[in-house]
Amino acid sequence: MKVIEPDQKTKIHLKINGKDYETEVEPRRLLVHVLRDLGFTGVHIGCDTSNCGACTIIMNGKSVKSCTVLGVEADGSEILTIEGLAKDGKLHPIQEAFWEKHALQCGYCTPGMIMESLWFLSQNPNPTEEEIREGISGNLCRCTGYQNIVEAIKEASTKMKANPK
Amino acid sequence: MKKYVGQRIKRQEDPRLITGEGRYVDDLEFPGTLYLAILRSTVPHAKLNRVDVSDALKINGVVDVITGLKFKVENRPDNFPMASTELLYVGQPIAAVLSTDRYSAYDALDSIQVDYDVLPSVIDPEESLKDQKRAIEGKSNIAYKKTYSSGNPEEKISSSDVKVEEKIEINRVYPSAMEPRGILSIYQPDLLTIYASTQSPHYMRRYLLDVFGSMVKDIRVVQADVGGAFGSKLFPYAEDYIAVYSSLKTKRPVKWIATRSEDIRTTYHGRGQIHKVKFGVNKDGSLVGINDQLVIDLGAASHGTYLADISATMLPGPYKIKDIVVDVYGVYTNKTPLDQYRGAGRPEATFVIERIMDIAADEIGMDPLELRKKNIVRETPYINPFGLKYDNGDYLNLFEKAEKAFRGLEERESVLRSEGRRVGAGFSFYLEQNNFGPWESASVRVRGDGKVIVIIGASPHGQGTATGIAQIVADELGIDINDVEVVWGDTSLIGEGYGTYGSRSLTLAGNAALIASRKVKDKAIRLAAQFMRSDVQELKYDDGKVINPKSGESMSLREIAAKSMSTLGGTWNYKEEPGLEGTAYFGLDNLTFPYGSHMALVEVREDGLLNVLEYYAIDDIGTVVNPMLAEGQVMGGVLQGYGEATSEEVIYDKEGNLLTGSFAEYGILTAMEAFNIKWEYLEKGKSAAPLPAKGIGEGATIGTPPAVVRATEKALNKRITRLPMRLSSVI
Ligand code: FES
Ligand code: FES
Repeated sequence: MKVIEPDQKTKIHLKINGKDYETEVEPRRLLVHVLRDLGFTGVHIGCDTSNCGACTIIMNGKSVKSCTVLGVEADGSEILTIEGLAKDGKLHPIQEAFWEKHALQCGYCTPGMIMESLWFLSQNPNPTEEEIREGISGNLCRCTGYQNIVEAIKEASTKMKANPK
Repeated sequence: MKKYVGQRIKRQEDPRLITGEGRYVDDLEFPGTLYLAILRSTVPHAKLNRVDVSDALKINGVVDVITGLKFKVENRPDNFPMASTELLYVGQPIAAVLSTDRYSAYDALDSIQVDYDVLPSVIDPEESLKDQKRAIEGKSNIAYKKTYSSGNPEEKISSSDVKVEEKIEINRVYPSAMEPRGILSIYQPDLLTIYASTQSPHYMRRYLLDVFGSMVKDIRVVQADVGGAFGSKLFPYAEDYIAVYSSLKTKRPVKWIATRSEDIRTTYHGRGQIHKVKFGVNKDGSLVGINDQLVIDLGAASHGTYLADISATMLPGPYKIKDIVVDVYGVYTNKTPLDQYRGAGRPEATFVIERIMDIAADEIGMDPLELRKKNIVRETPYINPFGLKYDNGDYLNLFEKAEKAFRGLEERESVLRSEGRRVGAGFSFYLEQNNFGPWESASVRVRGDGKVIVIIGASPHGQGTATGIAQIVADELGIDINDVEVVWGDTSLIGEGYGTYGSRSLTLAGNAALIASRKVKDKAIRLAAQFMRSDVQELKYDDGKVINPKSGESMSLREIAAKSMSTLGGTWNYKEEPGLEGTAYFGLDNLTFPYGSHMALVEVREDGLLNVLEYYAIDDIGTVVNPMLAEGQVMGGVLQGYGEATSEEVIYDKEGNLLTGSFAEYGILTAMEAFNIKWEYLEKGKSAAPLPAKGIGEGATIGTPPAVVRATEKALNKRITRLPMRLSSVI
């Protein structure tokens, strides 16, 4: 095991949205800050108690609140952020549905909400309204009252079933 | 021709935001930026003796530490933006560290030594009113006292059939925008450029120039993308002054971003009113007199007093009450200063008057809707007892539509109750007051390629106003909406403006844009007259073209723009000034008064929590430009109102420690507690503007709490006079 002193930096490798990155970080630096420093500013910070979900990303296939992970813990991981979701300029069906259904107002919760929905729908492609509400209950939105977010996720699930990748 | 206004047009704002390409202030980077971290008071009240920063300065990366900064800003504490002699509330800034890195800036805070002597604190506003212990040394706790009085309420109450007294409490809430506050101040000699999470860059510029005008020639304020505000980002805060000063002092870019815990401690709290009401009602249901003692819990500064004025003058609501007195007391407490939060004074007024309506009905054994109808204003315009002129509206018509829906909820209520379930249906009717002015600006500019850019002085931050205004302009100019781009939030783009607050942007900036578009049309006609060699009088503008009905000749706006720009060099050989631009400033000589009704069917579960089984709202907000956007405002506003009624409360213990200092303790609602809302709108009560809209940004936070509280009260058969309800203590 490698021992790192508190003020020492260590090199980590991340694969973010399909590209390799290498960066030096302090051991205490949170993954959310590491990602934002690398330019992935779609990963937002909305709290300091891991309640809001604004920082949600996909790490090694699972949704993770990136403020609860240290950069060094993520060493070697594969990460998907909101910036990597649209492919070749084409929006992901979840993004489309959020736009279509007016599922965002200020947009601050949106990247986290979309990434959580992506993970949720991968686990439950055919959710009920109740299941959707529970699925996104770790992501706070202050603007929308959630109704249109729930609608959007429903709509995306239908579209994704019709057009599986 | 109206192609877009009235339609559910998808938002132009969204593509950036759904792809992670929004640019909120913390997303903006500038070379050499210093990070600002702020040491804050951990005690509610103390005498500050000494702040020792010598150890902090030794920390690697730390460039400067600032203490004792003091500016004179109206209505702010003497110790503003930093405490230098007295600590007044938990969260008040004491010192600021500037460091090359965010983490080391926060590290350095731990090395600052603060020497203080604790003073007794004043937390309970009613305690404060007694003025025994002082919240601020050397000042009376009573910061504000005003009486609003009309008619003879004492006499009317004493001669009424039934007299009632109640204490109605509306607790403090935290606006909880998902993006905490933040600012980036970039220094250049003579010019500061500020990116901020603000609702009003123009106003911020003026505020900051008042203080820093002697140190810098101009300040350009740019509104970054803003992650929600709800009133809480309207006025510049202590941290804004500290950040600006720091960048002037260090001559470097300085960034400050609040953590959530800091934001909860320092972003102005909202509501915080206690009403001790006495009222008289006659057996026939007429409400004859109200006496209200209103105590507003201002916290440690006096800038929130206007909220009590709004509450007092709006207290009569949509009812014909003539004899009324409101004694307003604004008191200091050792808490975060109070200011506006979505609704700003009207939710408080509406909660009180709607509680009075329900309680009066219960007391005389009358149906609460019948009682309201007995008292409702039947003709507009109407001057209320405090001189507010309610504009255009047919309250009874909306009321009767709402009543039909509500009777349906009541039927379901009785079915479910007969099954032994604790279910209740609640109804509220509200009158809103919005379009706080004085005016707003817009400039419509046609580019050489025929694309139109619209600059507005309002500063939307999630409402979707840009899309709504694009609809208005596209309709007026008869062009494709995709050729219209609306931009905002930069003091260098337009001469002056105000911002987005008080449900004003679509009406005031939208009408400014409409009038500016009309100027552009006039100009297009005059230019086309030159290009087509026609007489101006012969031409008219129709559906995106200037046409000559006699000759059948026409030129589209795009063609006129292109012809104006066709060659580089040469001369301008036409007898009309080039350019296709119009700028307009628009204001209304009265506020607007939309109205509506909210209805809830709720169930109190076994575990004491609430379930909303059905929720229905109906509003008349004049012309609705984009029903999808308006509905979005209602949905979001209802959940905020529901949060205020059920779970949201800023709580201090008796000693003044904040117990709800993070999102782990402060109860904003998740999708699990949220519910589906059915919304309808009428367009009868139009405003006096050319495009007769009113505004819906705040209506739902006004209409929701009284409906939910009434429903819960009926479910439990217990009178509730407090927000939030704290059901555990009611059951
Ligand atoms: S920032 Fe709030 S959960 Fe990560
Ligand atoms: S859209 Fe503003 S927080 Fe969700």
